[in-house]
Amino acid sequence: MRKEFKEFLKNSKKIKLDAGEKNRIRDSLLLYVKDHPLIKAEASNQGFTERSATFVRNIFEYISLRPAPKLVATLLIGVFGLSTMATVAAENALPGEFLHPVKIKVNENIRSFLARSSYAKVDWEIERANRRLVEIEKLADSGKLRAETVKEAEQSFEGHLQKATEVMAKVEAKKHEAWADEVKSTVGALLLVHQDVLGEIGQGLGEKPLKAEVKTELDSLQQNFKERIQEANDNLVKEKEEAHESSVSLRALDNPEDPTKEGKGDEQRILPQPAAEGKLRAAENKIEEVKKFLELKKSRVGADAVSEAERLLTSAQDSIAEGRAKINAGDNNDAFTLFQRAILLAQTSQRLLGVAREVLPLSSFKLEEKIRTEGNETEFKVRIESRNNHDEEEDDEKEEELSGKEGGGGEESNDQDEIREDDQGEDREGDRDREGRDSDGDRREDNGGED
Amino acid sequence: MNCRKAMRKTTEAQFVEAYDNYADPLFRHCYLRVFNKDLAQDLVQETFIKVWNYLSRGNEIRNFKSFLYQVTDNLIIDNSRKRKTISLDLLKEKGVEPRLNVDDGKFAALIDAKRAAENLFLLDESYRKVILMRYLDDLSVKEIAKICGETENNISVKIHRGLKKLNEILDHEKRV
Repeated sequence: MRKEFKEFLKNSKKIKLDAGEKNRIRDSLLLYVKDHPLIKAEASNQGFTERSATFVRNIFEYISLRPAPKLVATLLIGVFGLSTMATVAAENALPGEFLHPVKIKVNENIRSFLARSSYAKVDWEIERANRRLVEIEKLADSGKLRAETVKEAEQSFEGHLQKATEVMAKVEAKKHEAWADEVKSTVGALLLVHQDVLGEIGQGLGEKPLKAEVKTELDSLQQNFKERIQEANDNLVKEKEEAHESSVSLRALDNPEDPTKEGKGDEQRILPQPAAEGKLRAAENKIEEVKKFLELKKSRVGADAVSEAERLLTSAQDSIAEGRAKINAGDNNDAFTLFQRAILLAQTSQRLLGVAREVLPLSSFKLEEKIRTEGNETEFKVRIESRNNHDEEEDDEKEEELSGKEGGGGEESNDQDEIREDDQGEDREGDRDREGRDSDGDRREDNGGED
Repeated sequence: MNCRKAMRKTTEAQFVEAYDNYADPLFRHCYLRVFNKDLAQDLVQETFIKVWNYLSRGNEIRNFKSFLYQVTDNLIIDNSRKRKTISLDLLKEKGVEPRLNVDDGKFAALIDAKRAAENLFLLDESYRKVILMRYLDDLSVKEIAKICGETENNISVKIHRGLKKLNEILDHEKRV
């Protein structure tokens, strides 16, 4: 850079505004600032509500400036507002109410349309089945339930489960067995909880007494659920036996010289450790999901339902701890079964919270869980006690009476209620694949609880 | 004091502080761009009015210096467009002389520097602008690029060429 230019720059830095001129500009600027306050800036810092109000006000100001489209715009806003309100209100409609068809034909069909994947479709169909049951339980609780409504609800319930089964059949064909197992487990938890709720209502423990014909329908529905649970249980036992037989026959082919060594065969059927660990992760995810769900719903359900759900979760966690010990001991099969049981316990806890909020918001809702471990077999039973605060002895007497009524024989009835979880968890593969599905499960359960 | 008042005061305080800090450098920059004291003062005032209008709409300014120079540059360009291009001869005919307005009067005595100022006036506006921003206002190439809306590479080339041309003018002056 040239010397002259450097000198020029050095001296140019001495160029300044005259002091008087600078103050004059400063004063005039301050006046300008006072005349032009931060009106817009204040508006931009308003809360969402204020900004929304401003937005709506601006729309109406715009309309008021243009009289011609005023009527059209007002009509459009009115129609949009009314349809939105109707759709939202329809979500809480019950059978027989004016908005119930909107709920079934519009809201639910839109959600069906939006459920694009097979997983989402099955989840939504199960949720719809659950909704139908919750509806009749709500009606029964208020004494407004009619026998025809129960029949219609049962038909819808069957229809939704049928749809879910059809979609599932396709998925199963693609070898997504782990997911199919999870769906079966979800349906099992749903049936268990609703069977007990229906049982309670059938005993006349709702807010208002039921008509005899309605009671008959509800008993029939409850019996239907019991049979389904029993059937599912039988299928699992059968699958277990078949798996065992095929394993034995394979061993016979592998060891033609000594096919009778059962001990050796049992060792060959031990699940690999990754399978058990995959199930462990799935169970832990499920428990975490239900914990979050519980926190979310705590304020909306009765204290008894919360404590019962917490107890089920604690049992699920105990089951996981037990399963971990089994893995360390090298018993992957038992560990797998225990993790599967933890999942079922967590699912039941979640379903209970959903139903408790919808149907029995203020009741002394209480589930009793009985878990017996005998060898490799675990039995799991859920029942609902009376909403009235009976003492323990009264409850025991009642249980005996109910067993007599429901099953025609106390022991048989109890057997029907039981689900052998080790059967459900037997020899399933691809549990690691299921972890990715847990998020979908979360979504569905959350939606279900909020609806 | 509620939040709105506090916020408003903060914005006002920032604005006044910016005026106190940058009014003189902006005036210097404007003066060496337009070589007219009154016009330079008007440009400074108008710059701050525009900045306040921007702030009052709830906008935030992260780098006051760059923003002020950007507004000033836009105003100078707008001003030159309004007045069209006026040749140096025409300006001289009208009595406009590129003079430096310094308080102490010492600068006027420095003949070489005065010549440099006059020669700077002969330099093309696009070169004069970037050279002033770089060497007088101490703006970085990155800041100049942002202010002018050009790439950093472009600005570097312009600075280089501008200095070269200024040297040629100064050489020519010496020869004459």
